[in-house]
Amino acid sequence: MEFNFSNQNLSRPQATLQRFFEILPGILSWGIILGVIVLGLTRPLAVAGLILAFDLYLVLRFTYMIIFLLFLRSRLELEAKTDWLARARGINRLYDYWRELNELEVGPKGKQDLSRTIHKNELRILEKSRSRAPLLEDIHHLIIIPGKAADIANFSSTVDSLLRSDFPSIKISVIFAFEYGVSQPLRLTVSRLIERYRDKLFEVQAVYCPDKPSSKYPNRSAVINFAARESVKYFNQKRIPLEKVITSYFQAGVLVSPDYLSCLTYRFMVSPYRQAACFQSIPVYNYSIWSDPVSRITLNASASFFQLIEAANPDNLVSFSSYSLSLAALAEFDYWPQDSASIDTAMFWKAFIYFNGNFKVIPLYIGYPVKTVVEAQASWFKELYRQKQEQAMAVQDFPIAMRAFLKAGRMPLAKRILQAFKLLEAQLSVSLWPFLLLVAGWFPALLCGREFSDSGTYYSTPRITFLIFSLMVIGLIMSLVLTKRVLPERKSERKILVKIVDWLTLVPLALIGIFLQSLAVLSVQTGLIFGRRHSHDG
Amino acid sequence: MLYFRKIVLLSLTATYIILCPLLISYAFGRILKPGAASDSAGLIFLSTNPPGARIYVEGRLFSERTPAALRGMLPGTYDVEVSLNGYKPWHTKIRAFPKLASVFDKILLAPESWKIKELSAEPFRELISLPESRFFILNKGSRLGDYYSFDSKDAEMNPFVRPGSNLAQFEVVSLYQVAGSSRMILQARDSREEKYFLVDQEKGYVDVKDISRFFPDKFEHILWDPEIPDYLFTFKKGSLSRIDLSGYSQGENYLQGLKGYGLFDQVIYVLKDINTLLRLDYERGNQSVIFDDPILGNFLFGREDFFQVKPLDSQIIFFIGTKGRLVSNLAPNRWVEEGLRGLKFHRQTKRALFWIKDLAAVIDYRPLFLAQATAIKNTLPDRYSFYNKGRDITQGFWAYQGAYVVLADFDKVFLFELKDQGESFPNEVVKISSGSNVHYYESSGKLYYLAPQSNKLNCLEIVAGVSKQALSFREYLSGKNKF
Repeated sequence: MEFNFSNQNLSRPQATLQRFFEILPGILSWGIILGVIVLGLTRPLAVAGLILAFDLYLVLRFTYMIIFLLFLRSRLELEAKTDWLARARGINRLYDYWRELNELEVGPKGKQDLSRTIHKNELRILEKSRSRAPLLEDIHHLIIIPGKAADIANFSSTVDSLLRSDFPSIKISVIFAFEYGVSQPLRLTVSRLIERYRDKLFEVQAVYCPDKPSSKYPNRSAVINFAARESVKYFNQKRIPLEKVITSYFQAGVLVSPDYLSCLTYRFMVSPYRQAACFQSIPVYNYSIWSDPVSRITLNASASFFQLIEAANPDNLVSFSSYSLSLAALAEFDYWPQDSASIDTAMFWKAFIYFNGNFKVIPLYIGYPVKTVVEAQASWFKELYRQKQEQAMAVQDFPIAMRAFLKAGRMPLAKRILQAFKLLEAQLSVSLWPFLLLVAGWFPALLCGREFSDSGTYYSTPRITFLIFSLMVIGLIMSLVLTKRVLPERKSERKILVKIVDWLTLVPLALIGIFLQSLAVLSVQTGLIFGRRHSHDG
Repeated sequence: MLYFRKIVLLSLTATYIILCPLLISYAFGRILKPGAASDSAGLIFLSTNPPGARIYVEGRLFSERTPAALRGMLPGTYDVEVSLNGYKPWHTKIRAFPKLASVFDKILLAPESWKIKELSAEPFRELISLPESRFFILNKGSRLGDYYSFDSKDAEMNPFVRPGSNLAQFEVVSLYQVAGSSRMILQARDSREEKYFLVDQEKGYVDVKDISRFFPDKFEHILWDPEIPDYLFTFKKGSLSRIDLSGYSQGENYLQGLKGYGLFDQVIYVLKDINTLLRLDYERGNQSVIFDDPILGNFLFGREDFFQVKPLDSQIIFFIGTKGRLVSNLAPNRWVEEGLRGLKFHRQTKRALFWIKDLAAVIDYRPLFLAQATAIKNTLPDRYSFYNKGRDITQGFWAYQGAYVVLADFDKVFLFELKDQGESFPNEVVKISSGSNVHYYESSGKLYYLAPQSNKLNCLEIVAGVSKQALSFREYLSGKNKF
């Protein structure tokens, strides 16, 4: 479906709709918060009932998350020793490969057998779909690394990690995408960087965005869009089909694990929906971050917590930072949205709408380290909030997606309603549940005034309070379990005391993460009520 | 994977749909039981004497003052305190039951200090209580001229005989009384003869009538029915005689071969030998056998020669032996082997109060009636000692419609609130002249006693007057209809 995925230059009815959907989440969030406060003052028992219902919902939601988080963890462990490149090669000679796979099926059952079973199932799905997988030799990787002048030092670390990949580097192209106005000396430095890698990669280029940064549009989307368009021109010149170019967009400084590109290649080849899909890797810490200060642990855990939860539930999965997709698909839905503050999630919704709801996010069961730079210990809290606010920017996709759902006549109605509900629910739950869980839950106990004391339930509030408290504690413990699962195990110290300290450390992590997320989302929602659209240029 | 996710999602959704209403229902007092209708919250009703006390539940002040109903109480146990200025706080744990009212409508608030009123300027030697009567007897000596009747209704004291009367010199040997009757019979003698006097206090003065001619021989035991006081039943050597005072007739050999007898509700209960308990009217008609069981008879009565028969109602019958054995016809039959000092019934609530020298207890037959109503089998009455540190318990009275007991123990009077089972805290009311009797009259709620040392007649109000009395739950419902 053709849709202007933007909040600019809209017709009057569309602009009205846009405003309505911009205001809706904020109004609902504040309406619920104020409603709970007012109801808490006037009808605390009704609030007690609502809080109980909500707390139970939260506990079950956490249970759901934990189940899939555990599944995700198991899957990552299961695939830790998988030779993705061998599997990708196998797809191109399926007849012989099947025989080889079947011959391997002897001996005791172990992780590898389970992994192989899943792999065979994926091959069956591919065969059943009658989709012709591209040849491994034909697949190219395009890596777009946008950055500012300050990021230049991080470029080489990302490219070096690509060179360490088990995927042939001769099939990898890298584009450094710079914003407008890069100084001449810096361009010289970039040239030297390109020279350094020219012989090692299929292509390495630097592009400089000709557009000046606009107050309307975030600079980053302009930069990467320009880079993607330039890449399309390049591959067209080289007569390389865009369908066989897997475009990855990494932030400078991201270190890619050696088998990342192989895994991506395999997943791209084996997926029948490769031309309408986004391949999302999972940021999991596989190095010890326990040597870092608590502030950094908080930041890192917080960064990946949200993403892991999303990744654990593919049905709700939308793209976030560091993902890959076919260049042909990217060009088809006209690249990243120009004026979205959160281009990663916005890209997903744009593609989702363009492909009439048939655009998927396919998780890559492989982790890679996320590099988070925290310069000063004192700034970690600010940085954490900035990170949360960045995640909260996705709020701004809601009105555009909703407008699109209203127009997307070819997308099944049920799918549109379901997605709209999920979006709104995600908006509200993130902004509200910390407030409801940790603040409003106590209203019935605190605000049951004497005027209610002719009701027996007034005297029963200790029971209600106990129930609320129990559910809250369960919810918090589950938050801790989730947070703990995000972090790697401490390998050197295994004493019980150390473990207790680890867990105690996680309490502030969970609470801080919860509150900051809520504050950030509420802040963006409130801004939207007053017509203030946020932007960042990462 | 997709199926697994759907199964998990559906399971959790189903769990939520089932658990959420259950959880909220539980929080708000509705406990759902499989196969039963939903039970809702209960109610706690509190009513005090005097009314207007503040109510604290779990330490939180209730908006209303007593009498008040706390509605919507979740099933469970609550700490409840009731307090009123000038009175000791009353506190207890109250259990709220689903869909039931836990009624505490007889809370008697004990004052910080009891208000004592001196009723006489002169001392008395002895106070003789006439149980369940508004009259009691005072004397300054052993002669009839020293005897006075005190009417607690009018606070009037009348001498038995006028000064100078020739009866005044008669020395009282024995005094026979029946609970609930304002009459009594005195056995008295002077230097020449021994006489029996009927003392009637209902006439506004004390009417002392010589009825000696009805008693040609001495008797071992005498009883009369307060409702038909002209019939006197005397017992001697296993024979029962009926004397009709109004007809001035004397019935010899009314019934023979008896081991005991008692009167209740215009029916005479006789224990023939030790095997048979009969019930018959005063004309010896309508005879029915309550039990005829040698084994039970032997178990209950053994070798004691005489038993007073004390029916609590037509089914529950107690027997008091001469040595103070207390037994009943219903299991568990043997309550006190020896040394019973007193037994008093509270017939409305099917309870019996008894005491020995150092212990007071209640036998509660309500579980039996509850069992009959609910078809529960093998339920026995509850027996609980509420006071077991007595020094010399001499008297006991039911107070405040059976919710409390007043006990005279050597030189102190205690007020006990009867709780379901267990020991009660002895609330000391007043010190009395050592070993002397007290009189408590339920209708006025007043306690009369002789003050220690001075031996003057004093009075204090244990239960405040009707205007201050606690509103019953039924009255509350009919008046306010809040439940």
